[in-house]
Amino acid sequence: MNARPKRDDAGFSLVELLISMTLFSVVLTIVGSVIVSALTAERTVREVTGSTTNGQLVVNVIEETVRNSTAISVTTAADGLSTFAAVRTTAGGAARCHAWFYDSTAQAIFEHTSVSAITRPTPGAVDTEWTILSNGVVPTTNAGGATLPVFAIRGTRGMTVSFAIDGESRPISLFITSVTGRAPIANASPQCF
Amino acid sequence: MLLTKLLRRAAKGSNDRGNAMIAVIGLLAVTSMITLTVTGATVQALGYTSLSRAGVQSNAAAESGVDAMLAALFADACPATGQLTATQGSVNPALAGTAATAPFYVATVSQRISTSAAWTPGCAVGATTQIRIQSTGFASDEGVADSASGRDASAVQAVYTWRPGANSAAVTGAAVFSYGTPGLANSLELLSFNGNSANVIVRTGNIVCSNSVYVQGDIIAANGNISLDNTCSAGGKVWASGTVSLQGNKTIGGDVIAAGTGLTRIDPSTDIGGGVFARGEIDSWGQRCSTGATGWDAAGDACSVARTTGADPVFYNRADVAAPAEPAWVDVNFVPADWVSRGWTVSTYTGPCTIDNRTRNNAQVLAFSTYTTPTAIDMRGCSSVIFSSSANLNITMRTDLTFIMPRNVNLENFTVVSPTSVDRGLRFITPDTVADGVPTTTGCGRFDINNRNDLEAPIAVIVYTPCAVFNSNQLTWRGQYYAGSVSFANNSQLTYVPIGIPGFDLGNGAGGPGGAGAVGGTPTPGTPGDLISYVDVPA
Repeated sequence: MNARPKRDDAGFSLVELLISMTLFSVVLTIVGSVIVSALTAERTVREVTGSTTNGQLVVNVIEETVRNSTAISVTTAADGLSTFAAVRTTAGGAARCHAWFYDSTAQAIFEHTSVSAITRPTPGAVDTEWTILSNGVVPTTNAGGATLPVFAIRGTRGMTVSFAIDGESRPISLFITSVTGRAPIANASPQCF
Repeated sequence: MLLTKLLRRAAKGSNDRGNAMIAVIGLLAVTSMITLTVTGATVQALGYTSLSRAGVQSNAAAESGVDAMLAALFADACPATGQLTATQGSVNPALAGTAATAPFYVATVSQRISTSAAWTPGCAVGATTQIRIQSTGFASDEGVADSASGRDASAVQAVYTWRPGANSAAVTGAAVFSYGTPGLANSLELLSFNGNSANVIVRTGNIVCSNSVYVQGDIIAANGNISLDNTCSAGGKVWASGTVSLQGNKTIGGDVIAAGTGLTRIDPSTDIGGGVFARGEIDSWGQRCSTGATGWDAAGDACSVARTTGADPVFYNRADVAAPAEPAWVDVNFVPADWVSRGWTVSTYTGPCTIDNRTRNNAQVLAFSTYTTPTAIDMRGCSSVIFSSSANLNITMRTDLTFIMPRNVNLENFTVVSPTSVDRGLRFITPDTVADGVPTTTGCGRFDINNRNDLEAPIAVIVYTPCAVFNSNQLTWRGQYYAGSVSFANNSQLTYVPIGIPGFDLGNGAGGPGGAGAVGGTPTPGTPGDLISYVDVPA
């Protein structure tokens, strides 16, 4: 007995399938583009906001400490890019030494605080007692293309901070600021450099 | 949707409708997640950025509060409540309504009398040594997220030393003001310092100077003659209401002015840097210029002076030569309340009147070196005060000191030192209790200063007495004298550093009508001094 095929079981013809697949591909392409571009935008926004927040965090920490400092010193490591800033500060209470180190090898800014003088670490081999403030830090350049040091002394009591936070593809947030200590100069008990 | 419709039409059935719905839901889910992620990151970043902005604004506001309070203190306008406030509208006129009335800063001042004392809210008082300004500033643009409100307010604290106004007496007057006839002799040097010219001014009486005296400033006899003998020189002018007599080798840096009608005598060996102005005629014994006169030749003598001394011009018989002004005597009485009102502590001395090797360790004597706030020590309970050479008294000045003395004083062999480089004023005052514009000498003995008295920078001294002052034997002082009469002998050196007396202007005769019984002049307010610390504090 041959069963007569029901109408509902009839398949698509080849033409129908080709047309439907073409249309489906077009729709998929459009939807895919939308999703890809949305994901790209999301990544960009995430990088920008993350680097902006990271940079501000670094600057806020440095500004508060230097603003309450009584002495400051900035030195540069042998590689010419890694810079070390040490201050004697009373921020938050008793006088103490506070230091930041920009490691050009690790592309990171570290900080360390102590009740005694802090020595400059070696680029690429920063001790574990240092806390990382931010990764992805790269030096910036001035209008003439010269590389600016991340930390530079400004006058006798101030410091200029210049850096960019690197995204996955390029530096995306630039930070340049300067801050000066307000208290009378003193570098004793403890002597920080 | 088009695809769905086509498929539905082709199938003419409803079994495949769920596929389209799933596709739509899937797309919506993906885009929603992305949207949520982007929105969350953006809001978080904006929140932190607004936090940073609020922190910068509130910090600036707090620091401006400190500056405003400092300006008020320098202007002697400390607010009665000890608090200064400002609103956002006062710094940004464009604001209106609630935004304009929001606080910008609140600055308060406190003071203390020593580094170990507690802070007392309010403006500085007489004994204040330090002030503290605490200021809270508020951001005009507050953080936009809950987590960003932590820096809407910031506070700073600045501590300054306090310079009491009592230290700011009118720094005028001569290096040596002698109301009566002075004695200037025997290796005396009066030196100018820091732009202040060391002048000798005598109100009434002749000035007779001899034996290696050098006055770097002017020598002025307001009502008398001047006679300079034997290398007695002046760096400035010599000015007498009467006549001037210059004998022996000497140098006069400025003019020689004789306002009297008598004969002015000028040794041809004198070196005169200025001119000669005489109301009378001039006598000189150098080679006269030839004028053809056969008798007394005033013109020839004047010409001789110009030729031999270098004076230019040389005038004689000039009616327009003016006499120096006759300065009034300033009566300085001692009224304790007036000194207290100027920030001084008054201490009545009841220790030994003769301080020698037996009494120098008396507690009240040792206290001289322990005072840390300006102190006036009233020693008038003694009929005479003697710092004996046997005591070899050494006083450490940690603040300004004023000794109120009786009418007999003998200071021998004492040394005053300062532990810091801060300027210190040491005053010896024998009060003039009668407001009559002249020295009241009733009961006067002598004010003797003898035998190696050393007083070096940064300390300066003033001796005020209506009685006579006698200096002798290796005196090395910085300061000034204002006395009924002043005499120097034997290797005295005084570097003129004017410190005056609080409430009086010795150089201009100020101090109320006659001065006695009341401190005249306007009290000089205290001001903030050096910055000690400046830190952030919790808001």
